[in-house]
Amino acid sequence: MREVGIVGVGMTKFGVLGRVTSRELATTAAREAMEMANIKREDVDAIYNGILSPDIFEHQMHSAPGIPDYLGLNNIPSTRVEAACASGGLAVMQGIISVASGLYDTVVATGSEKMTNLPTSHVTEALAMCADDVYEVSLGITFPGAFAMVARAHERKYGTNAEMRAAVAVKNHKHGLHNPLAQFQKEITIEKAMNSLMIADPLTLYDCSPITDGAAAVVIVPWEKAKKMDGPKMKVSSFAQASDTMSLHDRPDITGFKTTQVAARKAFERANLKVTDIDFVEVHDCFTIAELVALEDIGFFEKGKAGSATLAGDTTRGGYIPVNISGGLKSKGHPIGATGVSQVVEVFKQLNGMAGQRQLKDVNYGMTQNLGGSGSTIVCHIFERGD
Amino acid sequence: MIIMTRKLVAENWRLEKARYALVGNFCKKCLGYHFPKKQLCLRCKTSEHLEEYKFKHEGKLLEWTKIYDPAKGFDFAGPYYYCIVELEEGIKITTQLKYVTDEGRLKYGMKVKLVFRRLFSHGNEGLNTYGFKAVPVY
Ligand SMILES: [Zn+2]
Repeated sequence: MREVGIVGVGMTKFGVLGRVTSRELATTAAREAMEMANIKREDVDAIYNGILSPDIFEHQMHSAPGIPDYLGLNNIPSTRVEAACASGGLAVMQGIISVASGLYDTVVATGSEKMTNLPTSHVTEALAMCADDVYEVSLGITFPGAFAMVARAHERKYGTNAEMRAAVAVKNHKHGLHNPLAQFQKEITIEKAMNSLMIADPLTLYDCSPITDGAAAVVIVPWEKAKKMDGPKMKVSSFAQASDTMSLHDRPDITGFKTTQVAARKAFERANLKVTDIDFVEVHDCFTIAELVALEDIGFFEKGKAGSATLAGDTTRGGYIPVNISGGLKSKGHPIGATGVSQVVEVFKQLNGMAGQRQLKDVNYGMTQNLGGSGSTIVCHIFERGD
Repeated sequence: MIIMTRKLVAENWRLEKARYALVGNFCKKCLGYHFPKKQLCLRCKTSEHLEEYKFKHEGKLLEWTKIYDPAKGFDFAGPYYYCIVELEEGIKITTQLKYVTDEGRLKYGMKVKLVFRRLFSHGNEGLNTYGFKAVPVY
């Protein structure tokens, strides 16, 4: 396999974006990424689009060809990638694999979702379809409900409490203040988070990521080519994917996700790196408890220690490991298919000194963890500075 | 807009034994239970020793939550308890927890029994879908 790099990124504003389709959003993000990469349109060999459900949200199946259509790139391959909330991360990974294989020289990986057309209960239903339809969904599961059970199991075993979960929300909202593309630029307090509306006991509204529209894109090329390009760049150190049972109840332990443990370990092995080499990480905080579990599963903290570490400030700027400097799903927003791509966009901006007010100092390695379903799919990436 | 596009009759007939009678399978070789029914024993990697097995309607409560914000289609139920139950044979299922009169008395590992109830209906004229829900045994 060839070494691979990323040479341009694009991202729309995340939020409630009104009269626009996911196809237009993906096109906007892709154009921005291609412009930054300074590549000619005719150089693009293929497109991957991570998207959960244009079918349900926009009454559009077969969405992938719509993107090259709007980009004026008809006739190149364009593929929809769906892996629940990990669709975006997987689209990037498919793009990386296709360039690494030697098949393509320039690939645009995009992620997009237009969710706010539907009322909340319909969105909740659509998202629930990412769980096991027969043995979970038809019995009334929701994703807040599934993660509520993870939170309870974690609290019983390790004492991770509501204040620790709220500290994740407070921290990510604080980070989001400095991300102009985030859905929210609004600080919240621990008290406000803990006393907000109960969604699925013990998770409150502020434990949950919002419903969001948005898109993100990256341009992927062989590293040999990237090295010769003048613009910003980063090298793909490694990637890994893992899957587990569809149903949460079929796992022996729900205080963590085996998929994150496996994918992270493989990513570290392939990159020949240790967890202590990573300078910052973007993890999938669809719920506050998911961030804590991810940090433990990747190995930044021992099992049961991420909650108190978050309260102590270990996961913010200047801490032991800055987590979700972009604002995370919590504050940046969670347009399902775009989320995993936007994590990669954040790592790119940080590694190239393009992150504005939220720029971290002296960062060499950044990692992403993108989760689908109740952890049934996990995609991890590690990237390194390109200069 | 129609979101839920379940093929009701077909789906329910296909799931008749699992959903209506809690039938899975048992492997005579490794003495393991499977639910839902598997095509081969996941341990022995063969279908040779599998036989149908109807699970007992008793188990213990492993985890629960109260869902205040149900998905479309379950909004009729209002807030409801949702749980993971480990059946006596060791397999786990998720379902709703009914007749919780005193939430404070819900305990990890407490005994529950399964009862046959309506899961959901489809619109005003849709079929009812039935299945098992759990009830705490205080
Ligand atoms: Zn067996």
